Amino acid sequence: MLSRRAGLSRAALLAPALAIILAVGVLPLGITLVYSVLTPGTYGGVSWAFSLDAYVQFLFERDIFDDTLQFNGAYLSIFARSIGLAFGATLGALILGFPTAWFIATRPREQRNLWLFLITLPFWTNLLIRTYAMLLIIRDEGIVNLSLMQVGLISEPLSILYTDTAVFIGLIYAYLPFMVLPLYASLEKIDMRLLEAGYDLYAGRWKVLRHVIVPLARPGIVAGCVLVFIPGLGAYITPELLGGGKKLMIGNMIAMQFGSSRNWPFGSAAALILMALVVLVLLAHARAAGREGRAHG
Amino acid sequence: MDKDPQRQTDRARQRPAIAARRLTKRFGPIEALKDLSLDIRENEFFTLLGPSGCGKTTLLRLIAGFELPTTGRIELDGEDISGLPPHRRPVNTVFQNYALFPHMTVAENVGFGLKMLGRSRSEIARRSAEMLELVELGAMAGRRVEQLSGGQQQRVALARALAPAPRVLLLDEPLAALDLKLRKAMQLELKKLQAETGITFVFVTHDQEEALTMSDRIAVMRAGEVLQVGSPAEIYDRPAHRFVADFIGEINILEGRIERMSREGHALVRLGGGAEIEARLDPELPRHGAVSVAVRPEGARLAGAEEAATIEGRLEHVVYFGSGSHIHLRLASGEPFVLRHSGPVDPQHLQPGARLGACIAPEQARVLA
Amino acid sequence: MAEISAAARDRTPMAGTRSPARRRMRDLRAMPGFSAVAWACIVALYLPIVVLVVFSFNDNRSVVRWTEFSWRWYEAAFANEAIRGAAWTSLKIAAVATLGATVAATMAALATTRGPRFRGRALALGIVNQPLVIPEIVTAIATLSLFSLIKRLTGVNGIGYLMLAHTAFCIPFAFMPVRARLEDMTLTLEQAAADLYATPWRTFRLVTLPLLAPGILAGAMLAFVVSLDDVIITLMIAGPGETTLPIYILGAIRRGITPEINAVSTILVGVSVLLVLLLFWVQRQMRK
Repeated sequence: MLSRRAGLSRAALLAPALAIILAVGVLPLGITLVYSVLTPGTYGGVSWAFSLDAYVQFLFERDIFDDTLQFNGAYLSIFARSIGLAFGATLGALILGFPTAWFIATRPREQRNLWLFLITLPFWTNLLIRTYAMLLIIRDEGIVNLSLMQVGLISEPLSILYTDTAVFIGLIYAYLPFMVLPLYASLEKIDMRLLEAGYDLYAGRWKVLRHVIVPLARPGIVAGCVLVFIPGLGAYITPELLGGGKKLMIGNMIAMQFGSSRNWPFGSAAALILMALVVLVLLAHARAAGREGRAHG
Repeated sequence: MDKDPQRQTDRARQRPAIAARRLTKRFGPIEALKDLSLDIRENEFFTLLGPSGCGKTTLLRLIAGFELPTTGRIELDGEDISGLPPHRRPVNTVFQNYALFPHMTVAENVGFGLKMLGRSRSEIARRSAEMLELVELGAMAGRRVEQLSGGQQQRVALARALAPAPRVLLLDEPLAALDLKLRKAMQLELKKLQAETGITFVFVTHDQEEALTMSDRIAVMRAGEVLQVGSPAEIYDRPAHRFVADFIGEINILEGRIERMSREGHALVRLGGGAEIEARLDPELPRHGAVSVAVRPEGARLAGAEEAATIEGRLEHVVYFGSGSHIHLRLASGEPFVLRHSGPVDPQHLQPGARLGACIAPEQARVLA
Repeated sequence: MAEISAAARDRTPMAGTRSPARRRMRDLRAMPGFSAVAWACIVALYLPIVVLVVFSFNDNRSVVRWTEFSWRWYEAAFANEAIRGAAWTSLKIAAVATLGATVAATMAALATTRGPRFRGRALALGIVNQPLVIPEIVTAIATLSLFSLIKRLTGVNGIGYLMLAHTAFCIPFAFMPVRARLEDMTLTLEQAAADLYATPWRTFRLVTLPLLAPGILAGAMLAFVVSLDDVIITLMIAGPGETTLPIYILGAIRRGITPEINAVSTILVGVSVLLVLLLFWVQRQMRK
């Protein structure tokens, strides 16, 4: 009797949050799934006729004249580019983030929170504005090029903006905090006496790093990579501004289908494929983390 | 209607303040209380004593209403309160870590219960001040809780629980977080408070010394069951159960077999090593077979040179503790035996391996159930 | 195991004193070049924003060549009808989303942390955190699909759609600190209140809610910042005349770079930074 009342009040407490997210977060995914097997409407939207064209279109092009299918690698290459860029950015963020996290973890205890705060603060400022700020800096007339020319290192501005390099830099810049935080959490836990043991057993600095620190930081490394790779893969703003809308990533391509291209079914299909990729990465991570937990527990 | 006040209080004394009737409490597969029945009398300082996990805190929480019994019921003044939520039960709790509201002042904490009972502002103020006076914290009324020391927080918790004048005060190991000296002082103070207020106290502890010091009666619990209920002296001198004997104070337990009964009604027990010991035997216990005999260290004394010893053993070591020594013997049966010696000890006897005898009077030895 | 090593770590010399041992230890832990990389990262994280802010005060059309300090771009921004409208839209949406998300998240946090574990708790937590897992662009187009369907079926338009969408993705952000706070609070205080004759409702109002307040405040601030900063979802589902500040900025950047964008951006960054500083301060108070 009492417990049923408790169950009812619990359900009532959960209802608003679950209702909102189910309605605006989960239900739309179902609609996306349905839309992905419909036919595009003439002026955007869909017309309610079943078709797998959206998925076929992903790999093939239908010839307008004889209706035959021909292989078309354009979309596949956008996916490949996106995966490549996200992967590269992840690697870059790891290379920069690991020393940074180690540096913070080896500060005196009372300084660490300040450093962490400095790393997290940019994350809470608008990504669009941060990307715009990056754009200002790496433009041909930006401060980077101006200073390099001033000191005479280069005579002409490096044309970084609207290239893959720009997107790559932008992605690292956007998601570096995601790498540093989990890395720090792992590194901070390492018992520093293990280093002494390493040195004591004739390992040099790099060997201690490779054989002691990196293996112990593995959970943090994996978590950081997942946290950078996933938003990097679905990035929209960064390639939009720094890639100049020419160097497309999946995110822009999807958005485009709902805008100028007016192919909602194809956009829906692409979104589902992107989501499938993300879920795959998350599942792999969860399994790896589970194994890690069991091995240590 | 009975007009004689003396007889009235007598009757009130006979009716339990709290009665547990066949209580069972299960947490999933774990049975925290097993068919437990218990009476707690009006105005007494009642202690639930036992090792951790024995169910004493669970019983307290059932009385407070934080948990509901799986089966059985709890009566307060003869009325079934098992189904009442905590805020409808006229009992108050002093929590282990005090559970003072950190966002309220000391006075607001103490007045909380009265406020919830809808008492007038002036009554709350008067009564809170009175309670804080009682625990000698009158000057701290306006302080915030985190500004107080552990001992002071403890007193606020007491004042808060006493302020609504509950029928029964429940105390869940309230002294556990205090250091030894403060704990000793608080023990006496609690006892005094109980006498002054006349409220029934139900006190939970795992500290047997604390229980012996403070209680009118003690219930010794183990694994969800009450093994023995009695006054501290009864529990200490006449443990009804081997576990009780072992748990309260130090005790020697010797295995043997009842040979026959003496004329005084004592059992003559043949011990493993061959010695014979005369021990008290409860009339309801069987008068034959294998038994355990319990002897407190202070119930035995070293035998004089000419004296006939009850038992003999070889000296293992002597532990000196200021007011006396514990002399550790190894008996012929291989069992250890500790006796308390308060006089000066003859260094000649104190060579390890020396043969020593101990005298045990029949009233100091007891056959355990 | 973890606890033991943590305790041991605190006792190792480098944690505290300035003894010779500490200096030796510090050498051991230093990796060549690591400090340089760390400092470079911090500089790189802040340099673009600093440049953006500095040139918002430049008395010049250029966003690269400094001439003189001036408020002119802020004056221009404040005078700009479109910017004022966008700011107002942003605030309206953020206010509603913050309120809705914080209330819903607080209720959900109470349900998932108070009382016994229940079947479906993991599922409920999963649903609450769903917006964090799905890539924003996917949520954006999915929500667009749903809303356009509803709009077509009902003919109802308006800013309510944006508010609802923002509320949804703000919920997990508001949920995190409230839940963390609740998990730190022992049930004993609420039991103490019940023991002292407080009804469940009064227990909630007089004990749970005041103690939970810092967590709720932190959640509300996070939700506000997240709503204020959103671009992709808003961009996809905003109808005509529903331009928020970030959407305005995106449009302006596409039209061409002006110091006016710097000024608006600086204001937006300033609001976020202020809120986050406040949030950290609240959380520090909470730990005390």
